[in-house]
Amino acid sequence: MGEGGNLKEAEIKMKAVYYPQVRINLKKTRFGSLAAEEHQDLYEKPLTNGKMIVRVDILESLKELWGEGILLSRENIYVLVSGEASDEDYRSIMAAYYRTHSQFARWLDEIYFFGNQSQPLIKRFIQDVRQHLDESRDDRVEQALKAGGKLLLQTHEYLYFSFQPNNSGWQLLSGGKVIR
Amino acid sequence: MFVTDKIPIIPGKTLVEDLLTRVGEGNKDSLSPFTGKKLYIRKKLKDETMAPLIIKKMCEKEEFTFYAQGCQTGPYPEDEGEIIGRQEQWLPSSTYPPGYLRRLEELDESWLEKWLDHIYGNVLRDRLGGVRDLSAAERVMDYVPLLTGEDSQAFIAPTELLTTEDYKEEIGTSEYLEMLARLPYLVKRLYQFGQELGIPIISLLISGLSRQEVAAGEADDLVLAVSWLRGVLSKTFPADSAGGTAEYIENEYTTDAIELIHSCEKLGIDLRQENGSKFTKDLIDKMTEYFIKSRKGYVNRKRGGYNRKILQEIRSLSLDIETVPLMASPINEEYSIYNTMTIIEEGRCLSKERETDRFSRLPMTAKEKVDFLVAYAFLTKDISILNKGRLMLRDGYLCAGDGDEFVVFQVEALLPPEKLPCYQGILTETGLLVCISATNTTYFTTIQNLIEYKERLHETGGSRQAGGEILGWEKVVI
Repeated sequence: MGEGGNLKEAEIKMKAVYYPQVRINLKKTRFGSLAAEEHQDLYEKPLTNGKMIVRVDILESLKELWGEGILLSRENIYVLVSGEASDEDYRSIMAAYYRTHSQFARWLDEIYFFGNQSQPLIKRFIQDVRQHLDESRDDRVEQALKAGGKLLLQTHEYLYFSFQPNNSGWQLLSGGKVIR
Repeated sequence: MFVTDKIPIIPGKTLVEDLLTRVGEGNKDSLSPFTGKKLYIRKKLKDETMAPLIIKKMCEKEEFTFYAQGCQTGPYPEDEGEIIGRQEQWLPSSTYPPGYLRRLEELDESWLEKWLDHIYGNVLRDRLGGVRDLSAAERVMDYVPLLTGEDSQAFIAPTELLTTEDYKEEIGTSEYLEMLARLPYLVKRLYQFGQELGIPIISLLISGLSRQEVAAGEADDLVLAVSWLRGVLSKTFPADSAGGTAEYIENEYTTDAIELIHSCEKLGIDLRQENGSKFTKDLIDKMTEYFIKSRKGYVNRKRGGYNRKILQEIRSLSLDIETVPLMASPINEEYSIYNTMTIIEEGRCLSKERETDRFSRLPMTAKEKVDFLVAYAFLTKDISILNKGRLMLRDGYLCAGDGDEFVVFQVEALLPPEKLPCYQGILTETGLLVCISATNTTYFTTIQNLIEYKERLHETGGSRQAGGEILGWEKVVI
């Protein structure tokens, strides 16, 4: 990631990889997702050095918890994990998913009944989700780096990697997709 | 001479009794031409000892009702549609059969078996005077041994044991029900804790209680168990420790475990008699499902359900940021190391001659490696590196153990302030000490620089300058 990046800080200012003139400000949402304030689509464009860009959707890992059909509307799930919505919208989205997705409901039932009852429900929810997402992110980053990829950016629960055009190691990445 | 005005009851077998008490073909004493059905009924029984009772009960059923189920075996010689109209007019001289049975032989044997199936089922299900009552009347009371010791020969009738009702009376029904309802929660919580630690906590709890009992004799088990739990379950290793020092933390799971022991004691459940290996994932999953579905307000649906109370809570959920002080966890150290390796690799691959010169070096010798470790220990005042055991080069980097983990050097004290934040470094096989970085920038120096600096300090007797440029740190950006 770019120069000056320190992931322990609440706000990360970094120099974009392959774009030395571009500065990216990554901020953490209220529930802990990283989101670039500008240049979100920087790596949606082809690179001039001929490398291919692979985008990995971290939210794909939530299918293990909440069922295969959970990402039909990814925006809603991103809202749930990042908290990037008004309180009212957040509550209505969560209630809708709770009523209509049985696996999501079962998972939420479990953390409601068997989670640490000294903590509020939203904290239990976010802690478990965030832990799962961070673990799957670390797994994918490790896989990609071992396969010869380079981490470019993490934003909106997407990971962007660059790979040499003749490198097929990206195919091992769960949820990976060549976009350029 | 005796005179009676009542019809005498002549003792004798009924038709059903005859059928059910014999096997094989009928003989001159048989009341019907059918094969005996004794074996037919016995094959249906799971418990052979109940056969006489069931047959006796079946014999008491009203007989001849099976005629009502009968039908004729052969086809009608004429058009079936006309038979109904002719039934009333049937005469022995008629050429077609009547619409009803005239002789027992006309009954089909399969229909007879069907009828036996019916009454067999009725006898089994009969709540008043059925098999349940029969078996209860015949049952001999089981005496259970008292668990007072291995050599004890004392026995006690089950009626003398404390029952659920006794415990309810002792602690009050509402409290009893509450404790009972919380048991799955407590077991599941401990199972979760065990999953986190990678230890079967429930088995440990059971064996711990048993050990306490052996050790304590007649002392209060609960007190001992609680102290034991505090000692074992609460003993956790903080994440940042090197595994050497344990800290006693009173965590939520300890409270759950203590509550479980309390509840089991109150409910009359002896945890020591439980088999810890039965608490498998399947059992816990089933228990969880039952627990969730038994909650009040659970909406059952074909494809799963939800709880109305939770739904209401979601609709009024507080999302106050102050109550949720959460941040994304930083990308782990391993990622940073791989990132640093990528920087070095890309630095080597850069086409510029200057970069190639910087990175293309011969592998360091064993002597250089030892000299560097000594210099590092001297400069950082950290001698733990010398006690790390066998160090080896793997995939181009210095590793410890069997090559599974990178040797990480603390370089904070060796760097000038403007090159921070870099705190740790790794050593390449070519003798470059590279700062671990999660960014696209890092710093490196050669081990020769450190060795020379240390020797100079030795010669001059001077003190170490805090992270001076003298160590020749270079910047690399990709």
